[in-house]
This record gives sequence, C-alpha cells and structure tokens, in this order.
Amino acid sequence: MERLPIRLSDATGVPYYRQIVDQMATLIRSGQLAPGTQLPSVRDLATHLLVSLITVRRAYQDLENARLIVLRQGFGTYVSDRVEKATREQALAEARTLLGEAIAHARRLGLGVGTIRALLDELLDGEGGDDAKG
Amino acid sequence: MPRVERVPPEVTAPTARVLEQAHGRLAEALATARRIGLERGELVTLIEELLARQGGRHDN
Repeated sequence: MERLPIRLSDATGVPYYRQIVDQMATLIRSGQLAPGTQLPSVRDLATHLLVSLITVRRAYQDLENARLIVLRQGFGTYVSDRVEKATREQALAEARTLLGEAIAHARRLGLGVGTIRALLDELLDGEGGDDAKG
Repeated sequence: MPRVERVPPEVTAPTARVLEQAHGRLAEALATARRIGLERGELVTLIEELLARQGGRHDN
C-alpha cells in the first residue's frame, strides 16, 4: 500500500490527530485519495508517522464522523464511496477559512495589510503565473 | 546635541522571523487552496475580499 503524503509538524502547535484529519480530508476532498481506496491500518499509519495508536485512532474516528472514511470491521479502513470531489462552493468556503486564518495570523504578528498583500503576491507569482493545478 | 535614534536589535531581529512565520502559513494556505481546486483568478478575488475586510491600516 502506498504511503500517504502526510507530514506532521511540531511547530504549528496543532495536535497531531488534528493535523492527520486535516491533511487526509484535503487528500480525500481533492480526489487524491479516490473513493474506495483502502487506507493504512491504525498500526501501520502510527508506525509510519511515529505517533501513538490512540492518535491515529482518534483521527480515523473524526474522519469517520465526517463521513469521509468507513471502517469495515475485519476488512480495513476505506475512503467513503459517497465522497465526491469538493464542489466549487465547498472548495471556496474551505479556502476562505484557510486563507482568512492565515491572514489573521499575520495580522496578529503585527504585519500590515500592504505587507501581507506583498507576501501573497510574491507567493502567487512564484507559482508561475498560470492556472496549472498541482 | 543632536539626538541619535537607535533601533534596538530586539525590535529589528524578530521582523525576519515574523515575516518567515507569516510567509510559511500563507504559503501553506495557498497550496492547500490550490490542491482543493481553486484557480489563480479565484484566489486573487478571494485574497482581495479577505484583505478588504481587514481594512483600516494599510501597512505597518
């Protein structure tokens, strides 16, 4: 089974289980993890990410509550068949929240609107200026 | 005697760190927005909308 591209960071202060939930939800909603895909077992993912079984179990529980994954007793954990690629509205709402939080964070650090705009312009320009996704 | 204003190092030193922190978080948010399918034009509009809400000061 292919390893999930999940990276955990101590620097953010966000609990590990939450980081796993957020990153897996993004992988699923973006279609990078297709419906029906089998996910690593709790033990395998915990070993891969160097976290406790409880951390992964809690992340899987949250993802199941969000109906993004299904736990099939005795068979494993799968991406839910009912997950469709995020609609434009869902994607926009999610992006609005993420960017809004990042901008609010920058403001709390003391940056002005002009400086934040310059940083964002630089990041957008760094993408190459086209609409290529990736 | 003319007054010499000096900027203490502790005022200038965090600036680079602060910029780096903000840059990292903004880059992460943008990358995620791209991954979930937003195109550049939508991002530009969204950024304008969010920055407009901040209003008030336009720089440090």
